[in-house]
Amino acid sequence: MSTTASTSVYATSSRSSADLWLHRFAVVVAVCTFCLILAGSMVTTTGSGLAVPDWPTTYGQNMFTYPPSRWVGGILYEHVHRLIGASVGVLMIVLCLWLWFSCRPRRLKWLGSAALLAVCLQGLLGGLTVIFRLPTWISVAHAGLAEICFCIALSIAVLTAPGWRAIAAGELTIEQAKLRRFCKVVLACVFLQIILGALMRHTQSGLAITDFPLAYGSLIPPTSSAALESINIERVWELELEPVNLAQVWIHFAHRVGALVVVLAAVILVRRVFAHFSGRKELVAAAMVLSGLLILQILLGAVTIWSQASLHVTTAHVGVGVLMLGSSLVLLLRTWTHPRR
Amino acid sequence: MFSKRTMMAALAAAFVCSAAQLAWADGGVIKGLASWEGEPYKRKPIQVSADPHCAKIHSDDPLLSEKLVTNPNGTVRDVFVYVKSGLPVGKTWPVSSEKVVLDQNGCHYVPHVFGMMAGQELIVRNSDNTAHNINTSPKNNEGFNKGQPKKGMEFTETFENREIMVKFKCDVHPWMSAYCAVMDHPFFATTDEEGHFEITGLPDGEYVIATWHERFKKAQEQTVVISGGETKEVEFVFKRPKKKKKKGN
Repeated sequence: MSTTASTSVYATSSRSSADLWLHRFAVVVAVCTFCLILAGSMVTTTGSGLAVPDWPTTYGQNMFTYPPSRWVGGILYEHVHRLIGASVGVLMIVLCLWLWFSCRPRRLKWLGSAALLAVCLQGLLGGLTVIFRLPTWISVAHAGLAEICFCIALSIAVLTAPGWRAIAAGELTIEQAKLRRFCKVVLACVFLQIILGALMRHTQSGLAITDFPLAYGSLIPPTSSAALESINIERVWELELEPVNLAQVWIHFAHRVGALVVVLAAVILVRRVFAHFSGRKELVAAAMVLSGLLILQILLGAVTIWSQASLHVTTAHVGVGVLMLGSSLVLLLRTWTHPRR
Repeated sequence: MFSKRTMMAALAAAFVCSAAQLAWADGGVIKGLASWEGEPYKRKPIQVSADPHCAKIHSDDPLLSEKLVTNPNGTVRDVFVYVKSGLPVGKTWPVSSEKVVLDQNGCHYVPHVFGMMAGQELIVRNSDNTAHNINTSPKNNEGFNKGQPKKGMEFTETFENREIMVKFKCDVHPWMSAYCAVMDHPFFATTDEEGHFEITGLPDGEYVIATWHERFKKAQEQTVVISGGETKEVEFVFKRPKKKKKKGN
């Protein structure tokens, strides 16, 4: 072998190794972003969002030097959430720079920049939720942007995976185009359901209906204040819960209806994958993961109600929701790529 | 010149007039009880293990829920009683210079329910050896969320507008809450460990006295007439509401 050829082989091998490590790092960033969302969920469930009244300091001190002995009660959840957030921010900076210095396509580099911008914006939104004392829409936006940050990080991880190439426009079949469109629909449905869930939590509507699968013994929850009065007597005196209003009940019910929409969309998508793409292992795998997560998510939703929103069950419910979003996204991205032959 | 009998009558009349004037100057009094009908309400113990300081101080004496406290004598504590209407229209009442103190002591707020006047100073104090945040979200006043990470820290706040109630809560210790009524007059009281309340200094008039309690959505009201600086007694009765039968949606 000539020197030029061996250098070329060495350069290719070296670049492949670097690309693999970039991919692995992107996976780590996606996993850390997922963990950050779980930590944020725990902050909301425990009502700790304002346990640290100042930002970006912690009780007047540098957040990185606030002593662990003082991480008590709600401070533990909020402070740890901020620390993980800062860490994810640093990881995103590294990922962004790494992408720009790599030989990856330009669009992937811009995706890295988008990830960094999103996580910076997310940090600012988090600060605003504290400064303005948890206004509902800022809190919901903070939850929504968290999902977007995760999706961008996951996209980078998927698109940097070795052994894949982009499908050229001419290669796309009609069925593939249909599948791609439907993947987008499912992704949108799951994202909107997550936003509804965030709205439900940030309007204290998470336990506005205390039974499942019925709503106060009926298919449809109360529509009048008079009917709600006896429900609130039971809530206050039997269940030791705060009373609720009709708006809260119906926001909660909207999340349940949203779940039915997601189930319908996901079932149609999975059927389509099995019917037309049974030979594409990567699509079948993603569809199976989505199906499994869907069943788990419905069970977790029920147990969240039955357990009166216990911390771990609620956190798991939020986490599986994020994973459903992720698996829908992976399915969509795989409609854009083919394994290298 | 005057007989002994006349002199005695004049002295008695003078005494009665002075007493009456004194009574009018002090004003009328509305006092009474907030009674509880039925079995004493069982207060649930609060899980405080999230903070080692709170867990330590309550290891032998559990902290109990303050959402409804029925006293051993069959009365209710922490009922806020106030004059809802009947005061002279347009009259402004001087704001007391006395400072109201809200203390965080034993990982709960002391007092749990209290009243103050709009513009009166409120001192919020941390007497615990742990961090607290004091979070309020009033509807008619400027809210705040302040931290007191150390024992002994204090800050002063005022609320400028009438509001029943302003809720105080601690997000570090989610079981902690207190309620503050911001009034535009000084005629209010909160029932004590015996269920008693007393509102003093009322001018003559016909008043509607109302109650507020965090567990009872509907206020109770009674009309009381005060004349000649007299003392009137009223009783408010609280009981566990009966569960209504569901009539459908």
